[in-house]
Amino acid sequence: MKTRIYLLLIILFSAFSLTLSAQENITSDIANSGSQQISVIDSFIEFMSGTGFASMTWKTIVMLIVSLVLMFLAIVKGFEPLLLLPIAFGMLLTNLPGAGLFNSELFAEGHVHWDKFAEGAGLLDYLYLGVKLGIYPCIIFIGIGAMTDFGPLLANPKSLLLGAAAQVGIFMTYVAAVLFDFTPAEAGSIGIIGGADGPTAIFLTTKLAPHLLGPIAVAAYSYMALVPVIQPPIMKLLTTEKERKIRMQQLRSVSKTEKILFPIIVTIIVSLLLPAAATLIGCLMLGNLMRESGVVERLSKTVQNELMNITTIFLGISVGATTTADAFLNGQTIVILCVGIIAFGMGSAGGVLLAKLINLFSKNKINPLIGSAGVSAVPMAARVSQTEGLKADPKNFLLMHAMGPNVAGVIGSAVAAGILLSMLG
Amino acid sequence: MELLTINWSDTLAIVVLGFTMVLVILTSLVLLLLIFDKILSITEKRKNAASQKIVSAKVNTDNLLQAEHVLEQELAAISAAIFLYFDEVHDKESNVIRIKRIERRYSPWSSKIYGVSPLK
Repeated sequence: MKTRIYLLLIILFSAFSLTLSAQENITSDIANSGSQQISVIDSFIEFMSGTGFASMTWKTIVMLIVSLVLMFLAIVKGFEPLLLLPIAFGMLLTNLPGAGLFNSELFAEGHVHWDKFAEGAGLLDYLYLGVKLGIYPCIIFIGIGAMTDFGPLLANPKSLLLGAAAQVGIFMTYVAAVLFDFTPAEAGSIGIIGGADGPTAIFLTTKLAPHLLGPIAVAAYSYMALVPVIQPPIMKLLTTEKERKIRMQQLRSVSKTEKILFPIIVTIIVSLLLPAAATLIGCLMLGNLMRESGVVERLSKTVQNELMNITTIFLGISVGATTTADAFLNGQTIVILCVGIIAFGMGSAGGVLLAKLINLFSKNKINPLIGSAGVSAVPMAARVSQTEGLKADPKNFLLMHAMGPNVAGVIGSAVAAGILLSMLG
Repeated sequence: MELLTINWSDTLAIVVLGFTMVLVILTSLVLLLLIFDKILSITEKRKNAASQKIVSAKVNTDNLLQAEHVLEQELAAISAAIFLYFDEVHDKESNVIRIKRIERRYSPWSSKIYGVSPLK
């Protein structure tokens, strides 16, 4: 056995030395002939220096690991996989050195440098235009509108107040971000994480602080996935056992006329009161009108499925593309991630506390657990209210009651985004 | 010292004004929905009242018929006339024909191509 190994080593050594001598002969021949020197080792080194491995820095390695962790969370743990998976893969693509798929300099200083596009833009640069121009979030809002049933909200209009109270997280986080030395525009973008609404967060961030888009989108979607972990302790802390057992009155049935008129009226009223929110509210309500009118079933199905899915892919990849090592690996990202969780907690607490306040004056008691659903993570937050309600009373079904504040939260966060845009934009 | 450098008046103005605006806009929507609900319930009540009037009118007609002792033959003639009238009404159709397209997913088991012999 040993002799065979020795024999193999000798063969390998002789082959290596033969290659070297052959290479020396070639280089000397070329040198003699007066032409350019070509060495195998040099060309090998040149080839190696051209690969992504040579351009690897510790930052890119860390970013690749982060993208792999996000992919693990999406695939294995099932954390918001529909968006976290494309975002994670976009993060992987953008951090591949030398690939040049995304060039952040094309979008420097908050503007699209169209003249540089002709010089050589990557695939992700073109896809990112949809985010930069605010197209993807609006299309997703049309899809969300087409998938949302505002019936529980119409049956119990007080739910809108719970949806409004849950937006307190946005404004409290704004103060926290200002304390951490962020500019007002950046603080507004960070605060919107508290709305627990991904498209709204992306829409506002592209307008106010595009350089923070990556960390804010990752924080928003990660925390939305963690709603079942973040909310229950806050809900338990702020409510008593007796309050958690409150059974609510059955919701009245809502007529088709009400459902059709609601999106039209909301669009008119909100857009007139707050023109900056017209884009998001208009898209949301357009989708809902398509659903409720029942006359454009094909369009409704398309925006709910095909259009929504295609846009989700583009949005996820291009948002992931903004998470370059330089933009992501800094102190700001850590602060955004920490402040983001406060935003979620504050929003949940705001809804619960307002429900308790309403109970002090109202004859028909509200179960405060539905207040936390005012953050607009639809339908996850409503499900959390249902689960916590069932823990207190196994025969108490809160899901439909919680859907009211939950869809009100979508309107609330869009309105809050409009307000921040009009004040800070 | 850093806390002093922050423009607190602007920050608080944005927070207070912003949150108040969210509350005002959503509260106005709540009020609007409540008014809307009232209007709908009033129209619903009117509709119910109108239908009750028809029912009571019908009851009065029945009483009248009983009072006047309408003959059985007359009742049969009225019934036949009503039957014929509604039978004709039934024949008037919208003439709109809708074909519901059923989308079948492709499967090699249902593919036509495997059932067709190629022409050479």
